[in-house]
Amino acid sequence: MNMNRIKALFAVSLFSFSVNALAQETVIGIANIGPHPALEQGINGFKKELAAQGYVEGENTKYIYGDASFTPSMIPQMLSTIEAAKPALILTITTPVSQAALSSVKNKELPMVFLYASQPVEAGLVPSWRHGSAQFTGVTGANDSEVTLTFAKKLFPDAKKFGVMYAPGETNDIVAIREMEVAAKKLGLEMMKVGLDSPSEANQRAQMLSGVDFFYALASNNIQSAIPAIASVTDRYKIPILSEETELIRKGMVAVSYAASYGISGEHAGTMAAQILKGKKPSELAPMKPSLDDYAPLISRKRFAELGIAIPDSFRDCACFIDD
Amino acid sequence: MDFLDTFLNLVPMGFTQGLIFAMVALAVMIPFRILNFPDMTSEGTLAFGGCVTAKGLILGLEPTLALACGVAAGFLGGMLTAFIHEKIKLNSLLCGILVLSMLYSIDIRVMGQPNTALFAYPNLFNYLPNDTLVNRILLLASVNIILIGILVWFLSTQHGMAMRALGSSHAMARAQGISVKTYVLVGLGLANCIAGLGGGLLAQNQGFADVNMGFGALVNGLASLLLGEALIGNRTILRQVAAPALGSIVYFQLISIALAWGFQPSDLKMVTALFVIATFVVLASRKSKPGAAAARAV
Repeated sequence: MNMNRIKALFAVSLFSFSVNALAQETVIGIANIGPHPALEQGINGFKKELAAQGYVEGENTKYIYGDASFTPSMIPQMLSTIEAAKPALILTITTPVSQAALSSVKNKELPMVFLYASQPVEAGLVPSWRHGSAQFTGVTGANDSEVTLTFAKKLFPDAKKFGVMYAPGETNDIVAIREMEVAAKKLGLEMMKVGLDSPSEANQRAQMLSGVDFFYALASNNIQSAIPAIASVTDRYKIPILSEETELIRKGMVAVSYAASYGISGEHAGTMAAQILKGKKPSELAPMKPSLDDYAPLISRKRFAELGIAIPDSFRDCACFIDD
Repeated sequence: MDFLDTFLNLVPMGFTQGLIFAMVALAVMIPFRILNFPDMTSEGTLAFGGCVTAKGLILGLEPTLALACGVAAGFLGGMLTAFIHEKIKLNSLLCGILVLSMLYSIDIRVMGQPNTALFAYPNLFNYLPNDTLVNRILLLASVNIILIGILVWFLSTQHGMAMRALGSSHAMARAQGISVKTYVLVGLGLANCIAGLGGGLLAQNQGFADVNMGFGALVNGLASLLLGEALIGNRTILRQVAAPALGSIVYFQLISIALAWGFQPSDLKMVTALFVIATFVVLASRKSKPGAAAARAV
């Protein structure tokens, strides 16, 4: 290939680029850690909200999606691929991806919105909960354990002790556990925590749960993928599972779920993204946690019956039963 | 044209990653090729080095000093593997796996949490006159070249020769009066202090340390080592030592190509593996001798 031809190629690429600009298409990058149903719900919520705000996929908006198949060493290159598409904004999903975006994205003017980074201040993404950084703001998606445990007390009025599993290597889990310990003490509940390094150990570790009144399943990957194994043990002990995730209740493993849905967190991120695309600066938008209105309970009558647990009368009129 | 555009954008990032993970590949090469002691500790010492470096930075150490702590941590990790192997005569691979799972817990203890952000702390790259991606690449490349230089020099000293003798045969080395125990201990320490250095540089480069940062590093390292050996062989010491570094750079650029090509993210691992296989096939077909370096199994 001679020099002229290379120049011609560059000219063509520049040209195609300017055509894009003329069409007024908004390009939005989505950087994910890996394919996961819960994270996809968030992405769908994000796109849905942006569409409602006038950024419709396939019409005037194009999404560039990338993920790292859960491999940390691939995150920087994945982010560079997205940046190469010249997006107007990038949605970064999870803490490691958001942190890597801070160092790997070369354009320091490019606004970014994080989703499911549970500790954005400690992770160095934003200076405080009051406002975003020059480049970053977003939605944590972390559940408020006090809200969830208050709900649990209503549903299991006689409960004194509950069990919870967490992955000691996951920041999100550690934060959740730390907050939950405080909330449990405040509500007069005894908490039994069991570490779980990989889902393959779940069956064995779950044996330690005998004697608790309910099991609290965190929304994290490690725990959620272990629920089938945990349920096989807790069923034997007649322990109901309360999950922060709605996915498994419909598959008949979980008795009750109470969560700010991933979709709703994604919608909040979409609202923020739309505000930024319309001219606001990330530093003007405070990072968000799910609010009380975002929580919705789902209860499986069938599972309660199977475990021989009565549902309190106060829930009689609840529109939350999945098997009605 | 999107391909070229995207690829050119990815090249520098691929170099940074490739140069950092080159150190893991070096750390894999030493036990597998020099010591004849298959070892997987480097996946753990990469994260260990990174986490200790992060802790050092948070405690207010100079970036270089923090990095030195990370290197020392890697050294200890490697020695621990050799020590366990020596004391209870456990299979070397199993020792490595045990140590790397221990290090996971230690990492969390060291940092007090699984992830530490370092954006607000000074890092090694602040010493550069101008902190651009290109300068970072130049710095990382110099570190690699210096490392390779030191290793080549060391392996031609008396002690280095003794270590290489282990690679040929442990029994033979013992018969020559070489203390196998000591050389495995120091050799593994040496290998893993390079992995620790890689971890420390990775943490400073990406601005955070995470207990999971080593995940998959060993596979990358092995692939890089074999790829490098397929490219330049391992007939001289220089080639043997430079091979993993070169392999790592090529490996990460293969990932860049796969990414720029626009493959589905979920297919990327498959595509990268196929690229590596294709590279081997091309190289093997060009070599007249069957069973050349490329075919040498781990």
